Amino acid sequence: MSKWYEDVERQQDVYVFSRVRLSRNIKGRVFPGKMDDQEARQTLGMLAAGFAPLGLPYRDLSRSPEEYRKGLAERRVLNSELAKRRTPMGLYLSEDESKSILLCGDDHIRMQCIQGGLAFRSVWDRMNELDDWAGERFAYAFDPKYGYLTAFPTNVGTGLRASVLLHLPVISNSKQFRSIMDEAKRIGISIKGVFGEPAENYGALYYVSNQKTLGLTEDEIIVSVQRVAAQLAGQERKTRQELLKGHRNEREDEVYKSYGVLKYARKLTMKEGMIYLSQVRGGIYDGVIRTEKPASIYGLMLGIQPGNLRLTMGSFEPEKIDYVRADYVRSHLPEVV
Amino acid sequence: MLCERCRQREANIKYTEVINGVKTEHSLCAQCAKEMDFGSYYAALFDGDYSVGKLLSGLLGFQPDAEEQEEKKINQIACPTCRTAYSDFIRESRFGCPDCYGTFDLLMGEKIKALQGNNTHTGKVPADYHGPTETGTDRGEKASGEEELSLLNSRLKEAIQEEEYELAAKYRDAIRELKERMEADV
Repeated sequence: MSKWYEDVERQQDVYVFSRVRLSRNIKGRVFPGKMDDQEARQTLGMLAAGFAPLGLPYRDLSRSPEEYRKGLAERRVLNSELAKRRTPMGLYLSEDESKSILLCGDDHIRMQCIQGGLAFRSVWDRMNELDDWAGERFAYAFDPKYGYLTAFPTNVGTGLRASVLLHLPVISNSKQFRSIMDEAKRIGISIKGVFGEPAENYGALYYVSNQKTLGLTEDEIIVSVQRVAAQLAGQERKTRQELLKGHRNEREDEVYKSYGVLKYARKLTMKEGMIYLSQVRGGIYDGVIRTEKPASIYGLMLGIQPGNLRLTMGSFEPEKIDYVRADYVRSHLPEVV
Repeated sequence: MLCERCRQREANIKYTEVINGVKTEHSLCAQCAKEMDFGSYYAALFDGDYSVGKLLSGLLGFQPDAEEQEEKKINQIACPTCRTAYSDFIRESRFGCPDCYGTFDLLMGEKIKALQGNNTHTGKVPADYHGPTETGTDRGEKASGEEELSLLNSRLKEAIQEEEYELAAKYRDAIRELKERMEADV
């Protein structure tokens, strides 16, 4: 079965994916961070049994190899902090990886639904349904004032984190981008590069997500994230159209050069890979370059990361990684017509 | 001594000016100092009933010490369920269990509000959760329970402000018992 990020149909030029996460805890139990091993195992067993009727594949993460966990973090199923942790932790993950339930991470339960493109409606509906289903089986820790109680006060209330991943190769280079980021922060929305600060965020992928989880309804949170994302997407599209009008030749040259490097390089660093893939991705959506078959460039961006490379390309010596990455890209890059 | 500017009010601020190595001393009253737009910080101190004793102890470092002690006591407040101390929370910025929210409510409420911009949940509610005043029949009893709760809460707040930590612990336990009773009633 193909993964959600390989589904090209759903992805859009600027909108890469929409994702919602819900944090939930069980009444009368301490949070996982305070549990000893035995307590955590017992809780994990109870939670895993409760979710079993969903029929999703289950994995005991504390017994999974490191590269598997690292790969999960790169594919945004786990956060990198949790990927390193060795405490009892379990994961239900659907075959296409669009639905996951992490047990005994920071909170007892963290559910995630993700889908390509801008798709908050359907993602939230699926999430809400799953939450209702789980709510019938578990007594959630809930307080009339603070809402759903979570280990971190930054998640309390709705326990909802709604994010959209945007590909912003053009406007993220502009001088105003920093002030847009600051402006968004003031209204409770964070814009954050996948790899950090804009200057080092190779690939120009940016998360837009809510900072606040308390005092707003789930719908209000989603709408506010969506609104900021729409602003950014609109700006990006407009600027790209203008750029294309005035500088089509330069743009074509950039895109084809990038494609050429990806196609023929024998050694690719992470930075190079992200930069050139980003160029090609933009070029495809701008109609500058056409591939034989539709291809998910975002899928390749995930594929070239160290953990995922180890999963797909077998074991290799650490210093060989840039060669392996070039191999991987050469064999997965679609042909152009 | 009278204020050298208005010559009406008692001078209670001594202001030493050194210009090009020439030292001049001025004695002013709080109001004149304020009007001359310097020393307004000191003026404010003398304006109110801020005692000189307190000011001195502050300057000599007694005040921070007292604050430190108070802080120490607050840091020792721990959640009865998971033993997370307030200092643990400050260090890790995470709670240990759902009960921590109740335990640290008074200490944390404002911080959560600052962090989240709000401190009251308005979103989804679990299907099996029934709010404290939802059913009609025992509304009277619930209301009295809630009154008692708010009374205990305000006493707890007072006790913490007065640094009566043993008393605060008693109120905290009473609140927990009452909450459990009220929950069992639902």
